[in-house]
Amino acid sequence: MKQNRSPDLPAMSKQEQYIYDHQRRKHRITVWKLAIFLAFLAQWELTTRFDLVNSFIFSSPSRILNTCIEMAENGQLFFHIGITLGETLVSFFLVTVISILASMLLWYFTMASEIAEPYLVILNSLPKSALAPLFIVWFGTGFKTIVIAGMSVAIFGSVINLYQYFRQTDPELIKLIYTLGGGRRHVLTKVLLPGSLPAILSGMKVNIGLCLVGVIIGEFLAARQGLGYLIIYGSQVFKLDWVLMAIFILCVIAMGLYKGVEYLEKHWGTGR
Amino acid sequence: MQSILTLQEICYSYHTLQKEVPAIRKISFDLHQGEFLSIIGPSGCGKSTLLNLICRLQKPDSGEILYRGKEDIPIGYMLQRDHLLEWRTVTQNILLGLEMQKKDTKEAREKAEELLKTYQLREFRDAYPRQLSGGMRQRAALIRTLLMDPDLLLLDEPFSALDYQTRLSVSDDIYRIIRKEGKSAILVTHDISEAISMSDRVLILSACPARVLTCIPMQFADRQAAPLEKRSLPEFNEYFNRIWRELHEAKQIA
Ligand SMILES: Nc1ncnc2c1ncn2[C@@H]1O[C@H](COP(=O)(O)OP(=O)(O)OP(=O)(O)O)[C@@H](O)[C@H]1O
Ligand SMILES: [Mg+2]
Repeated sequence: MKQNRSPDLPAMSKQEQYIYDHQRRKHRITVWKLAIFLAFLAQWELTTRFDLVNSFIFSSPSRILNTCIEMAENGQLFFHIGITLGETLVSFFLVTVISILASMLLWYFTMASEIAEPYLVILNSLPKSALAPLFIVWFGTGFKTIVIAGMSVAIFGSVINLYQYFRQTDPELIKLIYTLGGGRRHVLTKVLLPGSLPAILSGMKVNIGLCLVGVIIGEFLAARQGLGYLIIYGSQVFKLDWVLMAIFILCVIAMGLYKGVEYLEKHWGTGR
Repeated sequence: MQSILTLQEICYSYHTLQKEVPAIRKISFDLHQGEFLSIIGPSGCGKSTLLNLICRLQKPDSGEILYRGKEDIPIGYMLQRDHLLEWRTVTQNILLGLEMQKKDTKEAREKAEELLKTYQLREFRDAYPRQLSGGMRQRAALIRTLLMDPDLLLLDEPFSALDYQTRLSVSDDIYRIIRKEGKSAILVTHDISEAISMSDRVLILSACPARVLTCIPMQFADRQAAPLEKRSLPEFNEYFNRIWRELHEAKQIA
C-alpha cells in the first residue's frame, strides 16, 4: 500500500518508502494478533459475567487468573509445571540423542536398516496412546513411564526422517570421502552428520511438540502430578478452572519450548 | 621412460537384477612418469568407471593394474563437480583429506597456506564455498587434491561445470600447476580441443563397453606452448579433425 507519511514531510526515497511500508505492515500484523487475543478474552469474560454462558463449566479469564494466583501462592502451580516441563525436556533430550545414534547405526549397517524398516513404519504409525497402558504395567506410574510415553510419540518418526535424510546424501560426496582416503566412518562424521544439521534442528522443532503431547497423554493415564494430571483430576471433580488454567499454561509452555528450539536453530545455524 | 601406471586387459561389468552391463572390455595402456593423458569417448562409455578402477574404488573383474611396480601409490581424484563441503571454510575444505588420514600437521598447514597463496585464494581462506566463484571453487578442489601429494592425478571432466571463459583459464591454470608439480595426470573430457591442448597423448574409447580405439600422441613443434596458445597452432586443426573422424567412425560402428 503506497502511502506517504504526511504531505509536509519531505518525500521519501524509494528505499525509505519500501522500508516504511514493510515496517508498517509488520506493525499492523502485530496489532491484529494482539487484538484478536484480547477480544477473545474480553468476550469470554463478559459473556460469563453476564451469565450468557455458564461460568461454572466454561470458567472465565478472571476465575482462571484467580486460580492461578491461588495455586502460585501455595507453590502447587510451579510444582506441576516443573514436573511436566522436566519430563518433556528429558524425553526430548533422549529422543534427540537416540534418534541421531539410531539413524547412524541404521546407515552404517545397511542390512539391519532394511530388516528394521517395516517395524519402524508400524511403530511410527501406531497411535501411541494405545501403548500407554502397557507402559504403566511395565514401568509403573512414575517419572520413567511418563518420559517413555513422551519419547514414544516422537522417536520413530524422528529416526525414520533422519535416516531417510542420510540416504539422500549425494553419492558423489560419499565418493569424495573415499577418494581422499577416508573410510565409512568418515562419511558419517565428515559428511552425513554435519550435512544433516539443518534437518536435525528442524526435526527437533517438531519433536519438542510431540514430546509434550506424549507426556500429557502419559500424565492423563498414569500420573499423580503434572499439568496432564491437573487436567484429568480437574475434570473429574468438576474444577474446570483448573482444567482451563492448565490448558492455558500448556499453550504458553508449548510456545516457549518451540521458541527455545528455534533459538538454538538460529544460533547453530549461523556460520554456515 | 618409466611408467607409473600399467593397465593390462582390464575388464569390468556392472550387475543389476535385470542384466549384466559390461562397461570396460580389455583395456590396456601405459602412463609414463610426468605424462598427461586425455581420455575421450562417447558419453556413458565407461570413462568414470575406468578412473574408479584406477583409483581402487572398484576392483576389476579381470586384468591387472600396476602402479610403478608397487602396490600402492598416492592417487588424487578430482571429480566432475568441486564438492566443497558448504559448512566448512576453504581452509577446512582443503585440509579434509589430511584430516581424515591424520596427517593434519603443522607442515601440512603451511603447505596449504602456500598453495592458497600461489593459486590466488589467500584472501578467501576463511570464506565459505558459496562465497567463491566457480573457477575459485575448482582451484580450491585442486588444492585439496594436491595436498595429499599424489603421484598420479585423475581428473574426471573437472571443468564441465564452468562457463567457457572460466573453463579456458582454469584449465590453463590447472595445466600449469600439474606441470609445475611434475605430476602424471589422466584427464577425462568430452571436449576434443581441451584434450588436444592439454595432453601428451589422447586415448580414444569406443562406445559402451569401452575398448581402446586408438591412442594418438600430440606432438607440437613448440613444446613449451600453453594450452591456450596451442589452440592456434597449425597442428591443432589436424589433430582435431583426426580425433573427430575417429569418434565419428566409432559412433557409426556402434
Ligand atoms: N552403479 C551402476 N550400476 C549399473 N550400471 C552402471 C553403474 N554405473 C554406471 N553404469 C553403466 O556403466 C556405463 C559406464 O558408466 P560411466 O559412468 O563409467 O560412463 P562415463 O563414460 O563416465 O559417462 P559420462 O560421459 O556420462 O560421464 C554406463 O552405460 C552406465 O549406464
Ligand atoms: Mg563420467
